[in-house]
This record gives sequence, C-alpha cells and structure tokens, in this order.
Amino acid sequence: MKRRFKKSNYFPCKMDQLKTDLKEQYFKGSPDLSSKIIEQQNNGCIIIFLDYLVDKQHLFDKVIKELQDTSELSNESIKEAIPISGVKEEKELENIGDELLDGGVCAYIEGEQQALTIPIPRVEARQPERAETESLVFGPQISFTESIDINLNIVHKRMNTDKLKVEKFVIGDTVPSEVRLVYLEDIANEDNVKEMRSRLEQLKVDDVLESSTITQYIEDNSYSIFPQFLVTELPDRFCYSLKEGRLGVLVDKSPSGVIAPTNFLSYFQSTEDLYTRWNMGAFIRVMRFVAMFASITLTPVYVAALTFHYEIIPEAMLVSLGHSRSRVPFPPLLEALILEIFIELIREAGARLPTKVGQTMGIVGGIVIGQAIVEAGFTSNILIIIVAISALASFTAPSYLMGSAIRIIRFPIIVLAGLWGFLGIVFSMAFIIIHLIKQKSLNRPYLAPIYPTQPKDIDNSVIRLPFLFSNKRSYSNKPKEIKRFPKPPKKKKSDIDE
Amino acid sequence: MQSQLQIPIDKKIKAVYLFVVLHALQMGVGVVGLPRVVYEEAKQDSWVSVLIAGIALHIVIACIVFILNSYKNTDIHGILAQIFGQKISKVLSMVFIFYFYLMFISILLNYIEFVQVFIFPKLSTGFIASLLIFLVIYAVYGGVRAAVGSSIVFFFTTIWMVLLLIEPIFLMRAEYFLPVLDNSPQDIFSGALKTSYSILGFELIWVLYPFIQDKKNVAKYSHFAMLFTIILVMYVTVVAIGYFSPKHLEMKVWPLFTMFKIITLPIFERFDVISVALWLMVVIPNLILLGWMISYSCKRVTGLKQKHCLHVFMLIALIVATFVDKREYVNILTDYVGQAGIFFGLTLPFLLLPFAIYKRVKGNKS
Repeated sequence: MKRRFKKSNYFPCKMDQLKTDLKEQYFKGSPDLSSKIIEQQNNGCIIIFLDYLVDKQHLFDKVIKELQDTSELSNESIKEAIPISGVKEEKELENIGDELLDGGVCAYIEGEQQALTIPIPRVEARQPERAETESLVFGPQISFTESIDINLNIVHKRMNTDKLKVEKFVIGDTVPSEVRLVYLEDIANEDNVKEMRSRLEQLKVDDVLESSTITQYIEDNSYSIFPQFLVTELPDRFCYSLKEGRLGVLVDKSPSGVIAPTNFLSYFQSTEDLYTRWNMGAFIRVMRFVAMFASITLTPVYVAALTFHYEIIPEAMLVSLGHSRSRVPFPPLLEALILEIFIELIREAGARLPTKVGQTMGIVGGIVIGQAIVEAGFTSNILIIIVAISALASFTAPSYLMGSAIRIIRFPIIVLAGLWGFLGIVFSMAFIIIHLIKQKSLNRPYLAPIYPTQPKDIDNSVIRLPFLFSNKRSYSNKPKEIKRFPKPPKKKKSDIDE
Repeated sequence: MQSQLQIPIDKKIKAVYLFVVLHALQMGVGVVGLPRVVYEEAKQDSWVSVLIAGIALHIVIACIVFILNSYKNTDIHGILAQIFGQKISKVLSMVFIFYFYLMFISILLNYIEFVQVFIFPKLSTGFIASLLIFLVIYAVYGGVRAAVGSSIVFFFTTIWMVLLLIEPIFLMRAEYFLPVLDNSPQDIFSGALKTSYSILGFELIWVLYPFIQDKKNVAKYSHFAMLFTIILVMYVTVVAIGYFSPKHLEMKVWPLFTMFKIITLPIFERFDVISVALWLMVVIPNLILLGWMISYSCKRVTGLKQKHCLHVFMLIALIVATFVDKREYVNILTDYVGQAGIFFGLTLPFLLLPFAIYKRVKGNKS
C-alpha cells in the first residue's frame, strides 16, 4: 500500500484531536468511526474503533472494563491488564488506521508518546459444512470455508506434526490478502518449494480475489485449457496431497485450497479411491479414464461415421440408425452441435438457477425438451443417448475444472470430425497429446508417469493397489522421502490344514 | 561448430527411451507395404530376408554405438568434423541432413497417399500435409523432450494394434510357406535389401546420442529396439504370407491395411478406415523426430536459429507435398530413400569405423 502520510511521530496530542484527524485524514469522514472517552481522576483515555469490524463482546468485557478498572492509566499498565495478545504501540497515524481496518481498537492516553492498538476483530465466517462441488459418498465430508484461520485450523488438526511448515505471504496492492504456503518439510521437494515461493513473491496484482484466480496468475501455461494446479475444497484431499509431497496454497477469503505440482492423471483421482477397498478403487479409477475417453470421442465418432464413413457401422445398427435419422433435416455435425449446446445450456442453467426452481427446470429442460426434440425430428434418439452419456461421463472427473475442460475440448473435436471424419478426430487427439506432453506443472512434467515413463508409479496414477504393495509416494513430485512406510513383513505361508 | 556438446541436464533423456524412440522412428509407413515389397523378391522365403536384414541391423547398430562411444559427447556432425575438418564435414553433414529431409518428405507423402486411397480420395495433398506439418512444428517447438515424449506416448497409444492381426493369424495357411528356402540366395538377399526402407530410422541415434544421460546403457537399449522392430516386421510379414495367397499378396499394395479390413468388432463393421486414421499416430512420431533432427542438425551445422531452420524446412516440405501428388513420384522417392538408406544407414558406419578404431588405439597409447 502506498504511504499517504509523512513518516513522523504524530504524538503527543489531544484525545479529540486524534479522533478528528483519524476521521478526516485517514477515513475521509467515515460515519462508522466510534469512540469512547474513559475519564479517570488524573487523566483520560480515548478508545477509537470501527463499529462493524470489532467484536463488541470483547470490546466491553475485555477492553473498556479493564480500562475502567485500572487505577493508574499508562501504556504499560494497560498492556498488562488487557488479556489479549497482539497489543502494539504505534506512533504513526497511518499504522493506527491500518490496525483499525483489520479490526483493532486504538487506545490513547492523553500525554503519552504512543497509542496502543488492541486487535479484537469480529470474524464473520461460515462454519465448515459438507462439501458441495466435490462430494464424497464415503469418507470425510467437511469442506474448507472462506476464512483462512478456520482452514488452517482444519489442516493443522488433520496433520498435527511439527513437520508441517506454513509460510505467510501478503499479496495484493489495493486489497491485500493473506496467502499461506503449506507443505511437509521432510517430504516436499526443495526445488518445488523454492519455485512456488518465488512465484508467489513475484506476484504483483491488485487483488488475488480467490484461490482459483491465484492459480491462473502463477500457473506455468496460462493459455492452456487444462488446469495445471488442482483446486479442491476438500481438506482430506488437500492433506493427502501434502503427504504425497505436494505443496498446498491457502488463500484468505477463498473456500478452496490449491495443490501443486499436479499431473494430468491426478485430476482423475479421488481420495475416495483410497477409502474404498483397493479392488473397488482400482475399478472406479479405471472407469473414470474410460469415461473421459468416451466423453471426448463418442459424439465425434458418431458425427464422423454418419458424415463420411457409413461402411464402419455394423449392419444391425445401420437399420435403426437410418430409421431414427431419416426424419432429421440437418447434417450430423449440426445435429450433434445443437444437442451438445443444449446439454451445456441445461448444465449452465442448473448451476445458475436457485435450488428451488432448479429441479423443475431440470425436468422440463432435460426430459420434456429432450423428448420433444426427438419427436419433432430434430435429432435422432441415438444421438440423444450418445450426448447424454458423454455429458454424464464428463462429470465423473473428481476435479470440476478438468471435467469442464473435457466438455469444452469436445466441441472443436466434433467440428473437426464433421469436416474430416476420423482423420479429424485422430488429428485433434494427436494435438491434445502433444499439448499435454509439452505442458508443465510447477516445472514438473504434466503427463508423468506416462512420460517421463515411470512404471512403478502405476499404483499412484492409473490404478490402485493394496497398501501392502503400494507403500510409495508418487515419483513425479520428486519427494525427499519416497517411502510412505516400510513394507510389512511377509506372512509365513502355511499349508492348507496346519 | 563445437565438436564436444554440453547438453544441460534438464534436456537430457534416459537411455531407456531409446528403446521406444528408435523403434518408433523405424515403424511407420514402410511396414504397411513391406510384405508385398519383400515378397516380390523372395516369395515364400521373405521371412528369411527379414531375418537377414535383422542380423545386419544388429551389426550396424553395434558399429554405430562403438563409434559414438569412442568419440564421447558428440554427434555425427562433430565426428565428421573431427575426421574431415570443418569445411568438408559441413558439406557431408548437409548431405546427411538432406537424406533425412528426403526421408521426412517420403514418409509425409506416403501417409497422405494412405489417407487419399482409404478415406478421402478428394482431400487435397497440400491440406493433409499442412495438418501433419502443423503438428510437427507444434511438437518440435517443445524441444528434444517433447519430440522424444511424443514418440513414447504415441507408441503406447498405438502398440495395441499388433493385437488386431489375431484374426488373420487364425486364417493363415501353412502351405503358403512351402517349399522352404526354394528361392535363390540372390532373391533372398535382394529381399533383405528391400526391407531397408521399413527399418530405416535407427540413424537417429547419430544425433540423439549426446542427449542421453546414462551412456553405458545405449548399446543395450538400442539393440532391444532393433530386436523389437525386427520381431514386429517379421510378425507382419509372416502373417501376410500365411494369410494371402501368393498371387493375392503381389496385388495388394498395402497388405497390412488389407488385413485390417477383415476385422469386425461389434461396434465397427470395418476397421481399415479407423486404422488408417490411427496410423497418423504411428507416423507423426516419425515426422516429429525427423523434424527435430533436421532442424537441430541444421542449427549445429549452419549456426542458424533452430526455429528458422524448422520453418524453412517445413515450408519447403509443404510446397513439395502440394505439387508432388502422383503415385509414381512418391514411389520413385521412396525407392531413392530406401537406396540412400542402404548407404547412409548401413554402409556409412563401416566407413567411419576405422577412424574410431584409430582414435581408440591412439587414446589407449597416450
């Protein structure tokens, strides 16, 4: 923040003078600047505060009451008397103003060389609730809130170890926000920490706004559609990633934490895979990859096959497909685009509508219009099935941003499929793959462990293995300690009936 | 030109990747037509030809690795410079680059022809070429790591296609292989020479060598790569001989795609259209690796910026692809590249071998 006042000692002054100066010079006549004068035999004390920023309970019980009870008013005695930590002595008007903005109280005893500031901020924060966007069926349901204190509290509660390091940054010129870099000292890679620290230090913006915007400022490639840092609202996912050797960033006023570095496959992992038994977890994880692939390819393949390559459609399917398409007046490309945009409309409307209307509109939009659109002969019902499946599949990605990315890259692929058939599809796939290879997340390869190839990392990426075999952290983060825990001793193999 | 190269550690790659990278560059457009090409010479004994080519390949790669190891941290251009001096070596390097460039163009044109024959007869050559070249430029901009990475990822995304030949395997007939070793050794030998176009690409190691981190494993993985290529080529050839009748095979220009044609899956009636489109993923690593190699070598030899070299080469390739769209030209070019490969790929290492041995002997004495 720019300095607006001369850096010089303001005190001593009259009590009323301090108030008027603060009001006129710092707050530009704010109506909410309150004050109270406490008179005692020999001298008086003024306390100044912003009405809506301080905790009234504390103000009356701990500040005013103590001041009134103190027999002899002096900075030293007040400091001792008030049972609140963080009482500071300030000399400059500007610093006092800043403290008041952070929810402090200024106490000034006439004649003293310094004023006291006592932090008693009133924090309006949502209590932790159930996660909404990344809901889990199984496992911890708590989610982050908008207050960094609560979030840090949750993280510390989940990881009560002295190895948890928290570094503080204040970012933002007009609206400074607290940003914390959180990592496990003995696991996280030095280079990653250094890189992240320097990126946060070099960040010069007016307002960070939210953790998902801060990721966009510090990401490796801001042109890519794929998110490079994972934004999650789940503390358990956040803490699990820290234990994997990743770094976490918490931003004040944001209900989500940022995890870096990440790789492409980690956007399809959920902590729920770990909570369920390994075979279920492995199956579900593979399912998600299949779903992503299907979501990207199904509609384009339909468009390509019906526009150019009729010969690849099996005979049995050709009849029903031809029948359902016989009334459709549009070419397959247009037909598919109309439906895809329609589905996107339903999704967007569903997200924006108030919850009470949302369900009704979902039914009207989804079922009624869907039915009518087929009956009116605008699209074939096979395409409705395909589009619905691919939309559904895109929502299986546990990261909302990745799901959206997948839904959006489908559009250009559909257009290319409509223009050049399978060649267009394969071309766009090849382009995406090359793009992913070139991508980096915090200078770590994005497509690990596929490239750089690390077969041992398969249990941390594509599938999941029983913990008996899967006792290592992901290689791609280059953690300091690769082993999570020693392998349990092998059980003795016994004969059948012994 | 520096003779010893200092490659920064973050640009270096592990030797394991050589296995996939060399293999990926060998597999490409050649193997599609290979069974017919060899069959025309060696008939039912084509597999012997492939075997001979394979053995020759292993000897050559052993020779190349020996030379590279004796010159330590340098590539073919550095080696040529050390042997022939700056001026002559520049000319030789240019010729070498030109050979790779021809290979690039021939792969490009061959793939475009597949597309035009199997999928879109009317799609213009220049347009398909621009699609491929766009991908190549985009990938080569990522440097050596992106070039190597793309070959690895595309290898994983296409290697499953070897399983597609299971259906033809069950339709193979033993009598098509009989009588064994009935053809003259000349025929079998010329069949082996004809295999050359399909197994070229291992020359990449000449340029990639300085980028490898653990040099002691180079020999191991490059031999594995050669072995794997030969096994795949052998597999395709044997299945093609067993599946097609003799007359039939000579008529099929691209036996591999014809074999894909009979595959029927519950959701796809015919697979050849898809496989030709998917072949883009087999071909694109070739083009990317060659594109990287040409532009990097050009930078090494001429001192120009790699970007500019790449742009110029790709622009010329695009122009050539737009105007050369007749099958005959493509055939002639492919034959030329195959023949040039016999010199640059198979003979050149033996010509350089004496110098390497001399250097080693001298090094040991001092």
